[in-house]
Amino acid sequence: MTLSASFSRDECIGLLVDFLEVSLHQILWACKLYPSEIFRQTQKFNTLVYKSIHPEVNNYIDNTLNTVRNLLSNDFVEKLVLVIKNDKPVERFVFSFHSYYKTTPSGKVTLNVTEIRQQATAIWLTMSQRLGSETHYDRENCTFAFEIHTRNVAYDKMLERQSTEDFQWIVADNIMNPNSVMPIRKLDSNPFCIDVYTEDYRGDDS
Amino acid sequence: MGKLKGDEKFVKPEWIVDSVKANSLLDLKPYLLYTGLTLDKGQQKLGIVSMAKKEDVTYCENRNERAMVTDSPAKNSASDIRQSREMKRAGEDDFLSEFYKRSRLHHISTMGALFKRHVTELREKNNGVFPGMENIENWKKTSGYQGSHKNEDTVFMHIDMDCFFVSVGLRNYPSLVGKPVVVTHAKADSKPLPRREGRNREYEFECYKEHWIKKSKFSESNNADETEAGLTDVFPRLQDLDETCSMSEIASCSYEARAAGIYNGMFMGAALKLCPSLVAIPYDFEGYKEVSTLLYNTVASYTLDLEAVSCDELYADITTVLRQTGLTPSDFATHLKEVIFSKTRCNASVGMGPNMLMARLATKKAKPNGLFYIQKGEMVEFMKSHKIEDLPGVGRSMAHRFHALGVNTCLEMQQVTIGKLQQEFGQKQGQTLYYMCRGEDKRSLKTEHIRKSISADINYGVRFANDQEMYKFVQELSSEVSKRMEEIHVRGRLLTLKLKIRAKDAPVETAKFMGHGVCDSISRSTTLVTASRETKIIEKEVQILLKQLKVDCCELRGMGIQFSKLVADNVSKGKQPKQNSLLSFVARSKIFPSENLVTTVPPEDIVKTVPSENFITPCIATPNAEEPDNEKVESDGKQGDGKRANDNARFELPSFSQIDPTVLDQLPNDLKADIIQEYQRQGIALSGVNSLTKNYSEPVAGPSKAEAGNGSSLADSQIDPLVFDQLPDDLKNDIIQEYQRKGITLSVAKSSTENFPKPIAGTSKTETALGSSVAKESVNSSGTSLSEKPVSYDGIEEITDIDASYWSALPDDIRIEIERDIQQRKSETTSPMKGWKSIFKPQRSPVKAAGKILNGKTKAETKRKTKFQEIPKAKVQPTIPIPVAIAQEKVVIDAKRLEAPKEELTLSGASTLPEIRQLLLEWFSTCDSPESEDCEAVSKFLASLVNNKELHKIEPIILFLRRRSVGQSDSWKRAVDDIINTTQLYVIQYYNAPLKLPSSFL
Repeated sequence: MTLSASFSRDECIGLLVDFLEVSLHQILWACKLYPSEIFRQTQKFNTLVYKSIHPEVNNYIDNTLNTVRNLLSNDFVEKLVLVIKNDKPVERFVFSFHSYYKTTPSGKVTLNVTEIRQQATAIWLTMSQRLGSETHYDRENCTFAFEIHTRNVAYDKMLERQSTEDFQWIVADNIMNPNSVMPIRKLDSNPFCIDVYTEDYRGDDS
Repeated sequence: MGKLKGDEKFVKPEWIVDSVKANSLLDLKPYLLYTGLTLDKGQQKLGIVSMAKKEDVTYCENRNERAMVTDSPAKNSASDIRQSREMKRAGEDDFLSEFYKRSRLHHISTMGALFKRHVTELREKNNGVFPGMENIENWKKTSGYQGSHKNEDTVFMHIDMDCFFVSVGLRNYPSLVGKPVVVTHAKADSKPLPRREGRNREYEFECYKEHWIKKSKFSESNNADETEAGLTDVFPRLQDLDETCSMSEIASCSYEARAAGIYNGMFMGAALKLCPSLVAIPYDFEGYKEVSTLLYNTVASYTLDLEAVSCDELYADITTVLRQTGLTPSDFATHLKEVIFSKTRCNASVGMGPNMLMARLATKKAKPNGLFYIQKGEMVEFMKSHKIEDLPGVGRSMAHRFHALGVNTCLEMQQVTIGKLQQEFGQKQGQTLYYMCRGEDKRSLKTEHIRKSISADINYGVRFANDQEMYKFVQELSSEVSKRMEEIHVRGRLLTLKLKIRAKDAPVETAKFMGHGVCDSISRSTTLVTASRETKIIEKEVQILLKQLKVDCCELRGMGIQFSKLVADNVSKGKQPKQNSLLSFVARSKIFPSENLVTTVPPEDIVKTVPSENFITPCIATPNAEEPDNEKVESDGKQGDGKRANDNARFELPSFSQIDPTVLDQLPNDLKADIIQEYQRQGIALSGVNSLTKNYSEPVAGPSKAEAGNGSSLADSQIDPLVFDQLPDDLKNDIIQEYQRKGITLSVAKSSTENFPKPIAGTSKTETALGSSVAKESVNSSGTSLSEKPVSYDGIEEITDIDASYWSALPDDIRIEIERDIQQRKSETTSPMKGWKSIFKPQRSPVKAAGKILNGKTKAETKRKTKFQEIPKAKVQPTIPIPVAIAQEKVVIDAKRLEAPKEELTLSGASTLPEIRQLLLEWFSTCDSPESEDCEAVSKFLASLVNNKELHKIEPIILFLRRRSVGQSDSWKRAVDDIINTTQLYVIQYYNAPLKLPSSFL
């Protein structure tokens, strides 16, 4: 039996941000940037996922997601990227938002919740499987950062206004072209269409 | 009753008896009379029952279950009486069948559909014999008509029975003929009904009014005065109502009754006040059906050019009949009326005119029991006298809007311009009105009757006490819809649930007994996976929708289930016809023999021979367009004829506006000089990308080859006929073969760079306006000696065709840009699924031409293309190459969507991985060497997947291709590599990096 429900725009964005949050934690866990002790097992959509319990990491993620949420509601954001760097970027996890809401007369969208859950779960599984199976590069010295690709130059102004907050974004350097891309999966269920893929900067060693 | 608490339940006495029998407490549900909720909401009907039995109610303690039981015999008698007298309530047993047995609208509407189908059946059965013709001959003899009339014009006939329901009803009451008679549910002698609790007529009408005003204010910005004035238009009946009179509507009234001021749709109570001697007769649905069938069969015995409108109204095109019999329209109508009356004992009115509208308006004039014929010449005069309300389709609401405009008659309406009408009423309706008020009507008979939707709505008697009742009702309604769909042999895909919910300020009990009162209407749709009419599926979907809407069942006043997107049964269930399979496509491509492909035509002829509908003319086709092939031939060891001396002069240039001056400046001097020279040579025509006609006649562009025979394939048009002609015969053949094999993968290269100083004098006016742009040039190449990265893209002619020296002279980013552009162009050729047509077919060429900017452009495409390229680039600074590409792509995607509004990308109909695999497998197994068109199609499909960000689907396809190609011939391997490379380039364009594949293939 499929489950479907009506969601308002805010609820849609909420759902999306939830999905992003879990995804980011999953990536951090699977990349083993941090000792596994800071992660706890938890459940989302009936799937086992890992969530960091480190307050600063969480704070960083939460702040990022808050900004993303803001931007999403203004339709400003195009991509959210988690970059793993070792001076230079090593790998980037890209969430490309093609659509996440559809205007309807009633102001609500009917979501196929089951489908969304299944797809989200599939994305997480693919992520952890991919990262888990890979030959581990030296992640010891790696750090991670978030990038937000905004859709609108007007956001610059918003950024200035936002400077009152203690979480600030800086303009990114030019982004190098990666060596290869790898699709993870697509969250593709009305109204969501979110492309998830990784960009690999490592040499073609395979 | 007032003492009752919410959790106390009324059960039937049988519950106790049965419980005792079973020696345990049985489930209350089947025995429930009503719940507390019903009482709270003033559930009228059951309230009466329990009210009446108040003193009989006893409390009965039975363990923890408290139940209230009504005295059995008393209850039964009460409900018996009620059932005989009153309408059942939705949710009760047989409500639906009872409802439909009585519903007037239901009968009228289903009969309309029934007869539309009936006419279709008659038409199918007809063997060309019209028995009516014989009748006419007999009739002519007896009545002495000559039948020498020559009828030239088309004549439409509109037949409408006079006060149909009354006429039919009166067949059973001959004594009432000539008296004021109406058909209605209520009895004419019915006494004023006792006042029902919880209703307030005046208040409800106020509610209606308010809602109406709100709505009209919303739709149009009328001022208050107009709205007030409109109210009388819309609610003319309010005055003649009081608290007690019957609100049963009059379905039909005799002309005698009409004389007394009674009209259809009037409330019975009001009508009785106007005409106390009014006689009401009941509906006679069997009679209606019988008479209608007779009517249709009668008319069908003369002609089958019929359009059924409803059970008593139809259009007929009698032109043929008149021609055959030689009767005048009026004579024929007289005859027909006689026949109809003799068969049905009912009168029909007949109107005739040169079109359907005229016929219909003539009928109005003909009533009652007459005939009227409007001749063509009288049309305009006739229209002038009409009020706008007379026009079909102009109802109260529209008439009101017209009155607001100061338009009351058709004459006045004729003064209104079409623009104004369209502005007021919308494009289509405005136009219809414009013609209609002039008596013009372009409609023709709709002989093929196609149902667009099917629905069952019930907005009467809907009062649910609980969810169970509601769901039970849903079930009945579902099966009703299902039944109706089955009757006309269709299934539906789009299910819409329409609900009427009591408006917040509306009274709980309505003025009209069991009516829906003032309501908010809401509707929700859902699309079924496949077209269906299964009751169970409908029921389930409706339940889901109801749950989503979180409807309070007690507030529900009406429900309707509608199905649209109907699919006829004989069409396969819900599935679109499959596209041509790859195999059939492959087979088709072989049909084109080589002699069709290349026929040399003198240059001048291009302009003339290119079929205009294709717009295929190489605008800037230059002599060297042929070069790449020449190159291939050369590299194959067959010596060309030394044309290469001209290399520098053979640039294939884009329209000048596409050249970024800054780019040009950075080019090596000799290259720059060449470009400028070339442009100068081509002259001013190049500057005007828009002035394409010039390009047609542009002499430099001229020398290329097109076949008049097959509508000029683009590839061929790129060949310089002069060059071609000078080639030795075997070389020519080689080229021809090469074309066949390669399709049209001809040399194109475009170098785009940033920073370009100034426009070149005397060449173009447009480029200054367009600002930064990309220079494109096609450079000759040896085709082999590229030592750099592009070598790896060996399979891609375009790059290898670039002269190595030029290539190396270009900065890195330019080269990237070139690659990207090539890809871009490829992707554009990718566009819609037209891809399955042969490239050699003329209609294919425009797409191609768009892709190959340099080789030649179609007229239309050039404009589009330049827009695509220039505009985004002008916005984005050249320092960011990626957005440029993306910006272009977006436009391309849009263009694609326009052409192919498909939701799912398909490769020849296959969209899922297994399907695609199967298809590819067939491809591999059926062809010894891959057809270039097929390769292209696959590449295109993959490219479109990239476009759609479906990277994860690409990987398995590529891997599959590669796996399959392992054991295959070289041509296969090369083809697969081509496909993969092409796709990778496309991925690079989007993601700035190739797709990572398990093992290296470079």
